[in-house]
Amino acid sequence: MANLPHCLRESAKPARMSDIHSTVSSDHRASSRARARVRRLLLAGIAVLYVVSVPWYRETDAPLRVWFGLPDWVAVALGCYIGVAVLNAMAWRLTEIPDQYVEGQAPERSGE
Amino acid sequence: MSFGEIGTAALVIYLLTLTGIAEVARRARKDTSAGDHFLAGRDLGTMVLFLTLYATAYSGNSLLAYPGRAYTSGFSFIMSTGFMMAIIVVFHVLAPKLRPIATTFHFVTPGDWVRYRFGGGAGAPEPGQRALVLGVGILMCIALMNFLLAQLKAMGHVASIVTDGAVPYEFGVAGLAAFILFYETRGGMRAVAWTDAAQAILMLVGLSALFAWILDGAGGMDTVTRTVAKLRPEAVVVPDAKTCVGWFSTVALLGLGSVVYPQAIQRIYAARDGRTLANSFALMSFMPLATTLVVTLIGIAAIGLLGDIGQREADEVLPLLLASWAEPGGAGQIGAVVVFVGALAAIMSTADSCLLSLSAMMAGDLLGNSGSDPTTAKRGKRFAAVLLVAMIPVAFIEELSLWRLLELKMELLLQCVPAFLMAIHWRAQRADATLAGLVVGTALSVGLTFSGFSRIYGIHAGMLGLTLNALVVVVGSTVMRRSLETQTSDSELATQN
Repeated sequence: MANLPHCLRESAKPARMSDIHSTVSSDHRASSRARARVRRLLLAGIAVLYVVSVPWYRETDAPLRVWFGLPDWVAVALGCYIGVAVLNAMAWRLTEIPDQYVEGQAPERSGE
Repeated sequence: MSFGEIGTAALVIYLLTLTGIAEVARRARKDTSAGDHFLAGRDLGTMVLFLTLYATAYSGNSLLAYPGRAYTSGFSFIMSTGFMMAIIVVFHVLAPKLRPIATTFHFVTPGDWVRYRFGGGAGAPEPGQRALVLGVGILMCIALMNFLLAQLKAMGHVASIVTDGAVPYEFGVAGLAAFILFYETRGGMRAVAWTDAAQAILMLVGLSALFAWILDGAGGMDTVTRTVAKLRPEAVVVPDAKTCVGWFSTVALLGLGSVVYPQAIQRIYAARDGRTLANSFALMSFMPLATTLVVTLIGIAAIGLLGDIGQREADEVLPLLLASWAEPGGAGQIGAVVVFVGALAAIMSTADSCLLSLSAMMAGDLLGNSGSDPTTAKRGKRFAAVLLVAMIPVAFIEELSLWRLLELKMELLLQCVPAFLMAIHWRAQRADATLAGLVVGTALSVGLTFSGFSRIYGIHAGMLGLTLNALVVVVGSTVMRRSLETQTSDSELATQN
């Protein structure tokens, strides 16, 4: 900062403390929104994995094929469940759970 | 030393350890409030919360009934790994929104949420709110009593096996139930959570050792699969359409139903903070792979190891496998004892959580005592004692299979889903419509079950009941809201004129 021209030094500084708060809070909001978006994508991925895990799309009279020591359709189901575990753990790491309820934050009790 | 002597010694050491933990938990008590007794002062950290969630979720059903189910159903029971994982996925719908409200308004029981949600704000409660709290409370208590009964039966069974008959079935049920009552009333949720943590570790160690022994003896998973394909070809074929529908239905039934377990809801309240809760759930995501998958593969391996033991002996798969492990003596004998004590630990940890939640709900939701009232914890302890004494003679009757008890419980719990999972997201939902849905959904699922239609084309009666329940809630809430809006605009017009 000391090597910058005076005008740049001035413009780089926030004018008031409220500006700092608003910058920090808008950054926080943007990062929260991005996390929420990724979380939603992860949950959608989990839903797809659940649909694929059930072998409804396979012929029931297909011959036995063994993958990783398991019938192939079981290996697919297991692969999907491993995927679900990883995506779900990531989704929980991205989940923000506030410790205090803020009025106006959904859901509100009936009558309010 | 014989198997029975090692087992009896291990059981005594285990019970003495639990006594010590209960005493430490009692000394860690901060006050005599219901929040401290039933929720450990709302201060459970990540590891203890994770282990207590784990030990509570994986019960006698997981360890004794699941290998039996895998033995009879074959590889399609891999669905159990999916439905146990679905529980932690469905918690995304409830926990992030419920937790801040629960901490702000000091909830102790699940009924506190229903009371708050349909409380009508500053005005009078919504019509039907009190009946809804009672209805949800009754369904949850019946489901919990059913679950507790299954655990008591399993406890007597395992205690008798581990001591080689030195502790008879009836004495195992009554003696261990008295023991749970002792440490639960001494240390409350803190004792339950800490003993759960010890029990979870035992369970993990025991299961891993058993699975390693089975794979080693069978010559690897590949050989197990090929042996099963020869002995019972239907156990390895791709499931038919009806089984696939049943697979989806079971994932939905257990995923949705388990989220409204009262003891699970209370653990959301008991976490130290939101981050702790989220981290515990993140860890829990992997536990079906370490537990349910292992017991499923154990059950499948039993097809080759035990041959045809018949449907009636299905609940005996794990004890029979352990007996053959222990037969040559030495390390196998000690390993079998560790698994048995681990199984007993899993059963006791689920039973103690059920009992604690039952006593909290009976004192709070059914009798309407406030969580902030210091006498609520005392009343809850008395209820726990009365309940356990009343249930022990019922547990002496050994007829219903563990799996059927689990399914019946789920069908009832499922009808509470709209009061939690829908009501937390949909502001327009009304108490009277939710109550109507609960009654109609319960009537349909119980009616179908008792008429012998526990599944229709693979779909559980409980899921059909829930669908009807949710429809009644949506239609009822929408109609009542419109009628209220019409009344309000009519009265505004009348005032203006």
